[in-house]
Amino acid sequence: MTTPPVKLACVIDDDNVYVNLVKKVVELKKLCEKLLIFRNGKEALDYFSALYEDRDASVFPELILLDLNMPVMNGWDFLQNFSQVTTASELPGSLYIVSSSDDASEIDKAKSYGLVSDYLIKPLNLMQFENLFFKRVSA
Amino acid sequence: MKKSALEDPFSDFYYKELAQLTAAGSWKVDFLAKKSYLDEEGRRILKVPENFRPSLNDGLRFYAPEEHERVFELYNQCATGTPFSTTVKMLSYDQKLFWARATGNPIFNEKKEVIGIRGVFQDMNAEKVKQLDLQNSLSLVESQNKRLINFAHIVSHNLRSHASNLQLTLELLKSIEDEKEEAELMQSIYDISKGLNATISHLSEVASVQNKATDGRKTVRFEEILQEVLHSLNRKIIKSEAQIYYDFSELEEIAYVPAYMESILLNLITNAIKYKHPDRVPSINIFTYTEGEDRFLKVQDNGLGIDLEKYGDRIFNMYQTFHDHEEAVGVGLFITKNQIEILKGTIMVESEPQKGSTFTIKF
Repeated sequence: MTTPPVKLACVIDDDNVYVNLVKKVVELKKLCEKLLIFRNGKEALDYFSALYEDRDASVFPELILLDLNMPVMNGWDFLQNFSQVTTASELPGSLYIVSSSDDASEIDKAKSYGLVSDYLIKPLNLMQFENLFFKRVSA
Repeated sequence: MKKSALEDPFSDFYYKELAQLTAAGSWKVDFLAKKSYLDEEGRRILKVPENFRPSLNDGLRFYAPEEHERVFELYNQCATGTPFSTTVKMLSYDQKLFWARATGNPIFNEKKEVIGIRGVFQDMNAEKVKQLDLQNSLSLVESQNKRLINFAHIVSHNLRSHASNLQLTLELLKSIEDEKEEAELMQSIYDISKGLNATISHLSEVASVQNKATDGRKTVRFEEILQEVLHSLNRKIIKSEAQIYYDFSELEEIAYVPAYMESILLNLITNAIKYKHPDRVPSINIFTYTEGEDRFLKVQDNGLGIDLEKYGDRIFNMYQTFHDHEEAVGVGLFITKNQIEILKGTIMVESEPQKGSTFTIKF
């Protein structure tokens, strides 16, 4: 039996269909042991802020997949707030933007955040998901 | 008897010709003689009666009330030696407002003391009104353009989401053999098609806004439309126990596209109920009023409210939702704003989280 390449990964996205598909991909390809799901930036930020307060990096996701357009707190506001909680060097895992938007200005803006490893445009295929979890290189 | 040029500052022939040609009136205040003068063209522009004697004290009467403070300041500065040149809203003797270009220059004696002021004012109402119109259209076009770009962007984003989900589902289907998993993936295809249909119906809703604009304006009675809207929302109102108060006595009707008015009221009331505060019964105030020539409709609620400092510019954008609400779609206010702006109106929102929101429409 193979060990999943990632212990804990996290998806921040309000699209239920997409989230369910990611779950399936992760199960099928055994990409991680546990997948955290947040429906918007606020839920994720609350979770991460608590982790930082407890200084408990062991339960910090190694991989974060962040959507941009979400209710309550969108991806941009999440990034803005999250960069006040942590810096790129303190971040134990990698954070990827995964969005349907291919707007060049949005891509540039996202990459200007030190926290963002890369900007990936949906759709990601199975191979790209595998690459993300295994090598953590841009898909 | 011929007056000397000193006594009658407007006696020069060319001066008069020029005044008539440019519709410019001249005035003068003589501090020593304590007298005010107004030339023929000035009298014509201000529509003063023949026997009217201008006086220093009631000069302000020829300016719109909101300009008094500024005009007073300009005169005072001129009386200490600073000339002015400005555009000002003036008021004729018969109380008609008009835009004018006005200048004032101090008159000095040999000791360089100010002994009077003289100036010219030119009726430029037609030009100014045109300019304001142009500015309005420009900002309207700009705002519509901005929203169209937002719309195109959002729609492509939305369609792409469905397409990418579909692609991933099909890929998964290929690599899965378990029948139960297959059934789940079929369900996701069904969900995607539902999502696609919803997007398309939003698209056609937005497109139909533009089409209905050509239906033209008819006399719309606020109360009538509201009753129709309340009727169609009957179940939601009963379920939420919403209290709805209205008062259209100040403005009972307006020339408007009936379908728009219905949709505007429907959207604002539906939102007020949908985003009600969990701790209280929704209370919605709807009323019309006028301010001068401007006509307004206000819809106030005591619901969840929105943090405008955070979301301000996005509230009227498509597919922007702010509350974690399963029925939140993000199309209603986008359409409402479009309908209002197509008919050259504006919509404004004031809101405080946990207190409620107030939407003000200027027709």
